[in-house]
Amino acid sequence: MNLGDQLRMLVVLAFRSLWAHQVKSAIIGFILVGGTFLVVLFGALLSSIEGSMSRSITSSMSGHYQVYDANAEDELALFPGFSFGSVDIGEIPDFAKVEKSLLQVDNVRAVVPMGITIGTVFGANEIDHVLESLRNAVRDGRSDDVKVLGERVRVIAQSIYGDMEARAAISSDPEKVARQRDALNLVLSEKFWDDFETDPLTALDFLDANVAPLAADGRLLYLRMIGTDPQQFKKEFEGFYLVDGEMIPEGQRGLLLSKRTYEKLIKNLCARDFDDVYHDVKLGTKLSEDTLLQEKVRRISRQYQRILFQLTPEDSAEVATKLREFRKTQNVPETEPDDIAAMVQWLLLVNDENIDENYKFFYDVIAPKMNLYEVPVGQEVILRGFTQSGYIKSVKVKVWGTYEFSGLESSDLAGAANVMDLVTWRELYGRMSDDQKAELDSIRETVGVQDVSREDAEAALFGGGGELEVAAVPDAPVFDEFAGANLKRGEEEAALNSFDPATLHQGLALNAAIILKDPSGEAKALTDLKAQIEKDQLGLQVVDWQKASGIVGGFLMTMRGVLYIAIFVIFLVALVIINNLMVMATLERTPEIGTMRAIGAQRWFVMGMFILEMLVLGLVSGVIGSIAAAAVVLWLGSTGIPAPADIAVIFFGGDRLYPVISAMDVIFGIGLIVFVSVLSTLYPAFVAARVAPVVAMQGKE
Amino acid sequence: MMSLKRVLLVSLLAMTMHAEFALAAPSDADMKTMLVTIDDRQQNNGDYKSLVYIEQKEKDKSDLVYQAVVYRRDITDKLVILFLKPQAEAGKGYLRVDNNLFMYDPAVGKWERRTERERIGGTGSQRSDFDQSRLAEEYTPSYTAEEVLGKYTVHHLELTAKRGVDVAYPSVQLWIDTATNNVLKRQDYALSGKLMRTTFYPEWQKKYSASKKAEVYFPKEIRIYDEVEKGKNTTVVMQEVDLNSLDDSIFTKAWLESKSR
Amino acid sequence: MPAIVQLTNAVKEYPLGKLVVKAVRGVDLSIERGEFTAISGPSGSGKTTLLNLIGCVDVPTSGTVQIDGQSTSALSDRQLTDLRLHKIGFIFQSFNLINVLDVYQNVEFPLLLQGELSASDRKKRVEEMVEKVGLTTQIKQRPNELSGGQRQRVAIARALVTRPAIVLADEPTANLDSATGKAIIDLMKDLNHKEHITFIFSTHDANVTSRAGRVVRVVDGLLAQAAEHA
Repeated sequence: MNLGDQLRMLVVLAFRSLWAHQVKSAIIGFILVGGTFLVVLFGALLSSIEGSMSRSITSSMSGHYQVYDANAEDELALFPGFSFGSVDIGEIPDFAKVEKSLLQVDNVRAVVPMGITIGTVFGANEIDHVLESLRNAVRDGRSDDVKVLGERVRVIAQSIYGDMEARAAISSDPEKVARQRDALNLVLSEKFWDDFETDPLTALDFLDANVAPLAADGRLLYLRMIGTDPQQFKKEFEGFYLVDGEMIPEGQRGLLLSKRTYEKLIKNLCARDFDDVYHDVKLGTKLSEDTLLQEKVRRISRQYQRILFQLTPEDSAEVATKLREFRKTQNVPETEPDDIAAMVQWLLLVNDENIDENYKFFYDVIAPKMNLYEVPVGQEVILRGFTQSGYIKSVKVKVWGTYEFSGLESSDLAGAANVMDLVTWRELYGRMSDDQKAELDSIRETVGVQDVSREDAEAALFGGGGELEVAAVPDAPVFDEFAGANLKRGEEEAALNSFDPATLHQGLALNAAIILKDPSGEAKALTDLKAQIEKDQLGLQVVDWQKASGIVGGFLMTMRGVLYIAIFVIFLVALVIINNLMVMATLERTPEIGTMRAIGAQRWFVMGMFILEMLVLGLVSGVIGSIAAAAVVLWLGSTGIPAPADIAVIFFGGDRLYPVISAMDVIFGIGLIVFVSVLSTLYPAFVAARVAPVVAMQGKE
Repeated sequence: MMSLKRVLLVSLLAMTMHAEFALAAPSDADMKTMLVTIDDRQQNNGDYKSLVYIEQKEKDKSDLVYQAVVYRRDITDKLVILFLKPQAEAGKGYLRVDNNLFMYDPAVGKWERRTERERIGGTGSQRSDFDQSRLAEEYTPSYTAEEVLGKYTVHHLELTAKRGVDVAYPSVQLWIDTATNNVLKRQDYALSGKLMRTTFYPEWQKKYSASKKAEVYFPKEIRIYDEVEKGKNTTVVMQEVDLNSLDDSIFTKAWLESKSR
Repeated sequence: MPAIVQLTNAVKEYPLGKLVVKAVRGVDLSIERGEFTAISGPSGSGKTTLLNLIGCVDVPTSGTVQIDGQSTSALSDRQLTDLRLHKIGFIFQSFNLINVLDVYQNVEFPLLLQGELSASDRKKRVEEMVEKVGLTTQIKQRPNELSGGQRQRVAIARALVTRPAIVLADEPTANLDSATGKAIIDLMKDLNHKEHITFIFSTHDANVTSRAGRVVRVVDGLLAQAAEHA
């Protein structure tokens, strides 16, 4: 048997038949080329995304694996998604034990302890800031500072007074406005400040109570805190790098804010919005054409007080002088009002022509005199945690600097994470010690309140025999509220400002990142980790970085699902079209098939002929489609695809995705297309094989 | 001035109240008088100090327990709440000056401005539960019906916040014992009409005040049920009350700071 | 030696709607090796059906058809196909060449299906055959580049290349003008003489019938008479 020769004949037949039926071949070929193109292109994009995501996420927060409580109620989500809801991922009470055990696994390089909790920062309004400084200055007897800060209070009061006209016009309670105006008048009087010198505390309370509430409200910032061993975090996560300030020193409490949070949440609102507008314009948006941006500019200008409030009278005067000079260079008529409020408003009301110079002036002259950030690097910030015990816990911690994850700089999701030492974090998280629990029990016992449920409340409280009105013991001795209470803060808390670095790895953590020595050995590491956890009964579950990343991993999963469904649909359609076309072709070729059958071709030969035809078409189309897709991917690879939304920054591992194509993508695409081609020819080939040889005898050409 | 007028009104009222209230639906003036009476009984011309126990129970969570001291100077509308126990919370406190509520945390040595709805120490209790009663000043009453609450016959009133007054809840339902004119039950509603919390006052105590030259009423126990988060309730117990005058310095930020320093 | 084709009471019925059409109604026919037999008859006489039975593209409803001593009735499709491939060469009325293949490939096709000869033997055989039908110069041309007569010559070469026992031709000249038709019959006759190949062909052309060594007339599915010529 010369199978080879027969095969060669089949191939020749296939090529020649394809050529002979050009229209049919072209239509099917077009479908197959298109299908391959899409499969290879999106396959390559998806694997590129997976690749860059894997790099950016494993090298930022997740590590290769994450472990956490096996009985956790919720799933671990390092990237929180869009809700700040409380998530219960359980606890790792004794991290040291877990670390020791997991480090015994071959491929494990490091186990990084972590914990996530939300801390709030009360962003006070400007006058609150000033009043607090003033209060401290009074307490410490710094009379020079008192003078300067007092001046600033007056500036602010003056500025608020200016707003009172507008406020009176819209107020439904003119009496209230009148009272407020009286209070401001008092603060602006010389007498008030004379009195201040003799009784500063009363005056301060007056300012707190009557003037501060008149300024715009402060705001509450919710910050996501990742408690960890900062030194280890920096060492093990290659994506981590410091931007401003310095690293939290070993064995010290501290906080590193994410640069994104710092710039987008903590920065002075005016400056932040000004930055946004400037960047939009730099990216090519024309202010004159974008009404939304114009509105934003007007809003910034209206909020000029957020800048003025921060300037001392001296600074104000200096800025005013420089602004006057600057305005001249900008050809502003001398007749325009030249008080500082008007000039700052002018400065902020930018247009396409002057935005560069005005922005520069703002940062050169005004910004250095402001507190640009509510929580500045180098200073202490007060974080408040909603603790596990329910008690509110506040901690004071120094902001040492800001950091970024490389590739994820512009992601709000990744930028939501702020890094702090685990010791401080544990306080914010606030799990109660046994001693503390015992103390609560003893307090509770002294009173012994009966628990009454809401349903039974009325019957239990008002149905019984007790009297509603009772006279207290008339001459009960005066009680001493401070008996048995100790309000003084112990020295132990002050001493805690630094700690033994080892304590970071001892005690409570919520989850831990596993860093592998060799990431390519992932699959084995997972089995080993699971075995080790089983062996030492650590009660943990292991998840890979995709799952651990929460919403992001979920999105990727969804995207892959969508791709597969799309592929399925494309091929279902292709299958139907090709099948129909081929059945039609079979009918058309019945005489030819009959002839072959008559002169001795077996059924398999006929089937083979058809299948081979589509195999050839599939292969040729697959190659063409892959080449086209590869060309597109290469082009995208050189220009990059800009991330369209925040979530995409994480997918793309940066602002742009530079996709690459792998042999696997191509092989998969071609293989799939050939498979579909052959599948879609099975039925037509079967039909062809059923053609009876007798038709040859009836053939009319 | 105000309190003088109140005293007059109350004494006028005291003679007729018991007989007449039970007969027909009270007039607007009658209801106003009821509120004035309630406010006035709890008010002390001098100062007020009490040792309170606060306990919050919540489903699936550990209890919050506090012991605190409350200082009140009703004539100047001042209030201080200072936590004494547990140790971790000791030294934290609130100061109300005019319409501002400030909170102090000695751990960080910082004051923060809080709102009327501040949950005191994270419990279901609010500033108003510890402060002087100002129902007549803050709300306009209307009559719903005469009802029965346990073994008591009560007036059911609906109160609507007056314009421009800063209160935690714009609408309140109040059940007042017809016999003694004590508040037994109170329900607070949000602006949306949603029931936020229900409060019960099962026992009222009275103590003679030398400065007021009359008795001052205070609830021995307050049971607060959160109607939004079911299964969450807070009990406040007035362990001790003292009506002697207090030092002026107590009602300042500096004093509160000094207690923990 | 037995007859190369032996039909014994062969019957072929076709269902046609609810009716059953008897195309061949009991034919006894014996054709010897080397005969040059014409089957003639009017259209619808059952001539083609008879040819189908002999060519093993169809099997009889009853009775037997024996080719080279082998009965076709019990054979599977595969076996029938194999029988056709090895024993029978086909020449069709419409030539039925494979249009996408050139002359050489068309002729080579059955040899490839057989898969018995080596490539060089095959080449020799094909070229020899093409030469015999006089198309050596057109060997690389496709059927659509050839005239009708040339195409039928290719068909003849294809039918003969496997050296079959029988060559069946279904109206081989029907689509050709008379001169070309005559030339084709001449070629077939020549091959019949030289190669001793048994030719059986259907026709209703009297000129063609007259060239046959034996004429079998079919009327209404039965053999009318058997006339023998010298």
